[in-house]
Amino acid sequence: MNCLPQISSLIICISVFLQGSILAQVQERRFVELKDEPEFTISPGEEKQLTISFLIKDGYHIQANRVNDENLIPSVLTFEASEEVIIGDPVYPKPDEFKMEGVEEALPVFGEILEIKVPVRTANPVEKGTFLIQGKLYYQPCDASKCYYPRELDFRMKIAIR
Amino acid sequence: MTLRKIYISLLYSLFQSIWLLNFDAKAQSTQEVSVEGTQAPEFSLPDLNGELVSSVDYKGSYVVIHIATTWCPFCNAEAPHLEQLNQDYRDKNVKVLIIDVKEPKDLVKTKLKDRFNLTFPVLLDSDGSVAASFAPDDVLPDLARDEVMLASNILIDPDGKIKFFSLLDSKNFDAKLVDLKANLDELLASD
Repeated sequence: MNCLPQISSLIICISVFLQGSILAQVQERRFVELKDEPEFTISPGEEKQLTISFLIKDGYHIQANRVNDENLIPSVLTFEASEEVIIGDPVYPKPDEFKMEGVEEALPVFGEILEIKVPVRTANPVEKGTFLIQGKLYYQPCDASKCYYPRELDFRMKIAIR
Repeated sequence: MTLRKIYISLLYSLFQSIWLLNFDAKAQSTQEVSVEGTQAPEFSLPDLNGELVSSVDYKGSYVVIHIATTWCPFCNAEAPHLEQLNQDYRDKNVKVLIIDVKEPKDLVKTKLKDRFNLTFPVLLDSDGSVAASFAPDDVLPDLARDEVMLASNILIDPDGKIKFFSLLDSKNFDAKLVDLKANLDELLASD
């Protein structure tokens, strides 16, 4: 009877491990994740260029911010308006080229790590403090032979004004 | 008694984990499933003129169905080759259809039918239920059933049986429909 607590613990550990790892894999169907939770510090009156990094799931790509076929859906990064900071137009990186059978011109896409630069300046006047700004990446993922519905990745960016 | 209940709960949790493991294995695998020879689901959908088109109308013919959206680059790359297939095989009792998923009529007309000068019917699956009805249960079960089918090609024989299913039968993107046409030629030759 003395070993029962140990057996219980073992069963719990196995269950938690299995469920955690499996559910984590299923959630990867979001195709894009934040690399790190964005967190920045800025001084009043300062203007900064922030970098937000996204990880695109291995084997997949998303359409670039500018597409060469008007039918395709470009990636778009947006932020909710804030009273504390003014966020400028995102600067997207140079896209990769995805060559597809049957199409002469390669498709501009983003894959692996997507780093988007965002110009930020504080409002004037501004109160010091820490603020959360809601961001959203709208993207349409594909793999080598198939595309998936467009999706939104909602995230929060923490900005400390000091 | 309480200890027994705890053990039953723990065992239930373990079995649940094992079930999830099996679910995930299915999610990763599309190679072990086959739909070849199974009866294709029946459907009725409106075309771009609002006329209802039913799969029953195509009994007795080979039917090539492509599941599309206007924003899908693979679908757009295939569209001219589907039209060519339609032209080349129309005298061989082969019909071609596109089922567009969850998009408005005007968009589909402009961006698909008119853009690629398609002369075969383009049908509107406004809620994705017809596309979903073709999706095998065991393939990518963590995705919406209609989403699984996007950019897929299906070949149905005159008896309504599925003879080619690109989702399972093609490993690589096949814009020129080489695999599908090889299957079709083989079936036509055996008739």
